[in-house]
Amino acid sequence: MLSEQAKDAIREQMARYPCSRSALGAALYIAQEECGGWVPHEAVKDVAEVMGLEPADVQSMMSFYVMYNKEPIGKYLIEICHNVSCALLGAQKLIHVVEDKCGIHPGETSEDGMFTLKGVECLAACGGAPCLQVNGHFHFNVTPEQMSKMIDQLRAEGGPDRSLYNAAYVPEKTCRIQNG
Amino acid sequence: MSAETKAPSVPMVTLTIDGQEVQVPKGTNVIEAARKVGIDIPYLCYHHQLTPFGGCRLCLVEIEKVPKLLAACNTVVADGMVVRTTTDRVKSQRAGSLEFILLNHPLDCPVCDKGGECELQDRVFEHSNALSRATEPKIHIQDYDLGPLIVRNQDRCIICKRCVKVMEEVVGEPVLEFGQRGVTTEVYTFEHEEFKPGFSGNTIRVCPVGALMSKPFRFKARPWELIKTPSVCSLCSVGCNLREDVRENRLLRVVGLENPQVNDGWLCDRGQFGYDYVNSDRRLTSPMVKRANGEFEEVAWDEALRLIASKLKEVQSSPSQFAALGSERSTNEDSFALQQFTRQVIGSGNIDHRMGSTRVNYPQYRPKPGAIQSLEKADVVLLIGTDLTAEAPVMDLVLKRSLMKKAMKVVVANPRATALNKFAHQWLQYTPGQEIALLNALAKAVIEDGPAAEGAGPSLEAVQQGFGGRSLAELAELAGVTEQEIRAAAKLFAGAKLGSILYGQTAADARDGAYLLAAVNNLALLAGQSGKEGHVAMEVVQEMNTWGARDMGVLPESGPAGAKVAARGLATGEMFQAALEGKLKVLYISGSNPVVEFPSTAKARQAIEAVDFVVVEDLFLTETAQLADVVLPSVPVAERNGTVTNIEGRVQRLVRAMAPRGASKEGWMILAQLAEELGKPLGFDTVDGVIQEMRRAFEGKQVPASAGLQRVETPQPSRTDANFPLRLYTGRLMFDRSTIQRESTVLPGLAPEPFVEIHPTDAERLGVTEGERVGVITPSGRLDLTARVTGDTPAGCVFIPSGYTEASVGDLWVEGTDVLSCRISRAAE
Amino acid sequence: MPEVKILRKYIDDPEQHKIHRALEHGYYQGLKKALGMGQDEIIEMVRASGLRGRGGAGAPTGMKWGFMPKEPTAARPSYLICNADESEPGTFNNRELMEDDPHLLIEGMIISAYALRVRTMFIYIRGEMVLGAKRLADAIAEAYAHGFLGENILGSGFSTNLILHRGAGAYICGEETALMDSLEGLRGHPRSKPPFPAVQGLYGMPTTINNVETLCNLPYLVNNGVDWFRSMGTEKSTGTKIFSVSGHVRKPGNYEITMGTPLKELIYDIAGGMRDGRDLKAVIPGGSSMPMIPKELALNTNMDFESLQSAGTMLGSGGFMVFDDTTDIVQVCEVIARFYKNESCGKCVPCRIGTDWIYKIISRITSGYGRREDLDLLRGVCVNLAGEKMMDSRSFCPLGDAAAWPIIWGGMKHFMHEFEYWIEHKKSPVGQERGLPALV
Repeated sequence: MLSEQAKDAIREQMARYPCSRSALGAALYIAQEECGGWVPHEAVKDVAEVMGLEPADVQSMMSFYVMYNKEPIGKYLIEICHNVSCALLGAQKLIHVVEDKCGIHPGETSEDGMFTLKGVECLAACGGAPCLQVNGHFHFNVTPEQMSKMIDQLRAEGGPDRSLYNAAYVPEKTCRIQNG
Repeated sequence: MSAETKAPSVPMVTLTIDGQEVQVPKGTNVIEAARKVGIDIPYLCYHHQLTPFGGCRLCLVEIEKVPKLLAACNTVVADGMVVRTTTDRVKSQRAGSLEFILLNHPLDCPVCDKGGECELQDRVFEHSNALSRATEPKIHIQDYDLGPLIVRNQDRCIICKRCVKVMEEVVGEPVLEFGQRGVTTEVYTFEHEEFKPGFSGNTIRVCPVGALMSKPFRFKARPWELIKTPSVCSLCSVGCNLREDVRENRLLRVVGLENPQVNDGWLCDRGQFGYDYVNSDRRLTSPMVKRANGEFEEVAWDEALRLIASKLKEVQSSPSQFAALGSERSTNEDSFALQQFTRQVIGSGNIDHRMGSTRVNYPQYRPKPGAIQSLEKADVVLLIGTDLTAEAPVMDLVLKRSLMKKAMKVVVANPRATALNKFAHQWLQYTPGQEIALLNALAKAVIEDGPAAEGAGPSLEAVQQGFGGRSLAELAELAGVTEQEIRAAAKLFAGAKLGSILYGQTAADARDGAYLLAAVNNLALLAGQSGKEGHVAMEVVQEMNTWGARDMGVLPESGPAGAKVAARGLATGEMFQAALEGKLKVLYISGSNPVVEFPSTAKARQAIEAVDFVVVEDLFLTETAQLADVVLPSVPVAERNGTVTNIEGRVQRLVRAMAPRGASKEGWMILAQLAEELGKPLGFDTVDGVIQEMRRAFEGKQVPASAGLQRVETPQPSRTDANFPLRLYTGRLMFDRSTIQRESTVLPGLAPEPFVEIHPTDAERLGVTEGERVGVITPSGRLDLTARVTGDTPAGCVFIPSGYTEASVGDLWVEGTDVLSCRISRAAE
Repeated sequence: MPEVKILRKYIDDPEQHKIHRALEHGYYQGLKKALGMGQDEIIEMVRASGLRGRGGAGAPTGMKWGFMPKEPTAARPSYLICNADESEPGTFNNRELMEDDPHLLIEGMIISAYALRVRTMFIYIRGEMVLGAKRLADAIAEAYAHGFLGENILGSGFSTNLILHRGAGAYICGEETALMDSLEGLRGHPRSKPPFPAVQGLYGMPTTINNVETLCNLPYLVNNGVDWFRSMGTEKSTGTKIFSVSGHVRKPGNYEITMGTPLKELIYDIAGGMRDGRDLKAVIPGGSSMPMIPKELALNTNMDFESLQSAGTMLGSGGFMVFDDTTDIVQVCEVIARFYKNESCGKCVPCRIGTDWIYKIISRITSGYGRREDLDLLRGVCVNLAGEKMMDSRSFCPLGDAAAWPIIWGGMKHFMHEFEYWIEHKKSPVGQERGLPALV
């Protein structure tokens, strides 16, 4: 399921850490990017094999974290914060807009595969409440009108891909030192 | 043991718990310290054999000078610590935690098998408030099938993590894991697949509630209706201690007992689920005599015994016409009685229990009780020609006690990949049958690279003569491995603080088995490991009482405790030869099934058919019993008192857990009655009587000195030719369909269908694909099996598991060989 | 007192995240100076400064550092982790620091690593901070290229590596021991303490974990000295603190002020006062884990660790959520309860079950099915989860406290009449329709 390139990227992550298992988080991001935004069972198996782990172990770890998608998602993942500050300032209205325009409730993906809506907990942007992310890219102080326009725009012109959402960085790889 | 060699004692810590002063070793946790003075701190997630978790919060206690309540499981004692376990704050915490746990617990105790032995139930009765304030609907998590052994009932689960920890910390295979998080946390397997059999049953013992339970035991009985008897497992050589739970004279389940000298409570799934062969409807319940029409007819004991006695009287004048075949599965008492009967009553020396081996000198290589616990202390263990996990499963867990702590390195030397390979430091994939070449190569590498063992001198020269002037590279090549691999393994073993060796029974029982033992001994001596305290060099025997049969002298060349005999009698193969030559008139077979277990099944069958009068005493109408003239119903260990001797030579007591089925009788009792009939009583009529006689036979017997360095010739690999280009070797699986296992309800289903393993390069050359039916052909015959294409087996070799009575690899056997030559045919016969 | 821009001095410069601009602003001078100082001298300096952890607990940083081994070995190395898993609702200053001024954090970490003899450092950044991770990754690469990271930094002989590690969405990983488990590639389950991280932390090795903001103080502290640092704030709460202000104020955002500033000033002067001329109703001062305080208390307290404690709450992470008089406190409690229920790791009984039960009871009340006895029940569940009083924890880690405190010591303590109103009238006391999104 995973390409050799992705497997190499996982191995590269494993080499970064004093203990290779630490790379499991990054490995799942790599798998998620490769598999269209979610991590199917087959990919879990591949990750487990590359990292020398039991698939159950990988699956267990993955199931703990909300940013690994266990089911297929839409092209644009809209995550609307519904914690206190955003809730007080109209998050619910934004959710209604998406519900109406895309025909989906939180947790669902639109039939055309364009949008997945999620209500999420505090995104650390309460100063810009209500806030949301589209494939990990922030939007602050969003009004229902803006929300509506954003959907139209994403449909018509597209938007950011998921590469940053699923990014696994190796910026320090050129300068590794020994005896970590 | 002298005072100096004793381990330094652990410093003691004194603390006060509920006003009582307690002294415990440093590092003890508060739960165990309290237990020592009879204070029961409640807990649900803690388990004394696993690392603490701290999740249930039931064991929170007050500790002076600490503002918060602390978890007793996670708190290590300190000098002067003052602990209070019964304050109002502690009590309200316990009640609160239990109220939480019960919130989503289904409280289906009336239909839950755990009811009556449920830790949660007990704790709720002890510590909970009477009334629940719960009004919200309970959370339900969908269940799924975990396979034939374990039932999951997730709603009852309290997320204690014991089962997950057993698989992680004890078994080392984290296949059972937490899924999701928060209130929907569950325990599951990957993709909801079956819980892989092997050691899965251990999760049942540690589960505090009814979340993971035995499927075969489900709805069979209430715990309080069971009569519980401590006993020993009969399904391999480890002799795991377990409790046999019986209701209405049926053995309904077994539960591991914590004997740290043996299994420490853990069981393998063969033992955990294979016990119920004793309940089988196919058990023999009455003596049977074969009538002229070839049909068996049930008869009374009197008639059967009189018939046998009359036949025996015919051979009493020429006792060499009598032969007795015992079994590695018979108890010490049966073995001893068979030996006494054969030698004292009949006066014949023709007695054996082995399926082909002609080894001698057993006492010299007999392990000492304590070897299992010593094994744990080794930092390097060599496994030579044994698939430990399959042959003596719980020994695998013994090694893992140290392996999981990274305190041990294991070198697996086996032609076929074993379950332990995953944990192995190194895998030496030698050519089947070449254990001795491998050991000689290792010995040579130790001599070349290692610090030479002291005082070797001329005996060292003898060892080197065995190398036949070959270089290390040449020896390695004979073994089928590389020089580098040999040097690495030798260096590891010779450099170990404490190195031990386990070697397989199949290799030791081979024709050159005596040399194998010498070669193992050489290696241990040369590597300087032999003399060390705690060093173990142990044969991985495969049956419940292999050592018992040897100890009791069910051997042609020696009596009980290695006692010298006047003249060597016939070994099993020789008996069969004699039978075929018409020289045997009476054959008494007690507990073994040579028609499928003797390497050449054809020969065994023909030989037994050639004997005038054959008596078979067994639990079932085996293939061998079907050839008998008289069949006598025997008694399994669950139904008898007595003793068995395990892999490390420890004699363990059996306690009768249930009444013998029907008219079945213990082997020693039958023989005692026959002896009486023949006018030569054996001198015992109770089990204790047998044991007393056994003791007498062993009194004053010296343990022979261990052997020194010996010359061991390096063998050539078995030959192949153009007609039969592949080597065929065999070995045991954890689950198979052998004589006893096939009679249990679940084990046959766990065994894979009979198969032949072929290396991918051979498969490609032959055009064989995975899962295809192929014929394996030797000069003796043909066996049609499912092909498995895998690198687990070396190129040029094929593996067929033994232990299948319906597709017995013995049907292919050529006498006088240990590794066969064969060819694979894709064409139907 | 107005804002004191120290850590946030260059935060509005759009080029600040790039190293050339950071260098123009004198960054990495502190590092150069530190490398010329003794390692213990820096630890002593941090101790003397009175710098306290900015992540929530407020433990003295110098004391934490003092537990680290002085001579780590290759077999037993020391680690430094920057806790950048900022997830406490109402708190958003770390995110801005990392996005807009990553070199400040990196410099602070290298100085800390030098003092602590650490050869491998980690930044555990919250998974959702996608831009922050990108900016940090780029900045780390720049720092390597300039010789601030890697072998023999600036010719000093000191070498250290920095590994950026992204989380993947779990609030509990902000708890330091859960963070270490997560960083090891496991589920983020908290570990028991003791052993403390300085003894047995990441991979079982001595480990220091500090918050982003704490570490950002290091370059300034080294450059300007202890006296300068202590000149700001109160005796026990020294230095500046970035407070995140959100909710019903005119100018929500991050504000750096000295510790001890009156809360009234923060709301009415710095954050521009209440929106739409409404009246202040309540304030949550330290992120949603801390109990809210009503107007009367809020207007008479200062923002430092001690003052807020005597007001019955805590400074926590410094995330101030300000509520006006249109706010339905019961619904706020419901959102908070839902959050902790969603984020409970599930390891221990009180938190796993208690958070869920609290949420179920409150949401039943706001659905119009509340019963009189629910208030006693709610209080009872909170007590079973977090004890009879604050700091009487029953759960394995502080998440259980964080879930119970805002309900029992915040909402129920100060606004019991709103709970009673909901139960009696089956509707909001302030006329807010039930508008908070349900669980997703």
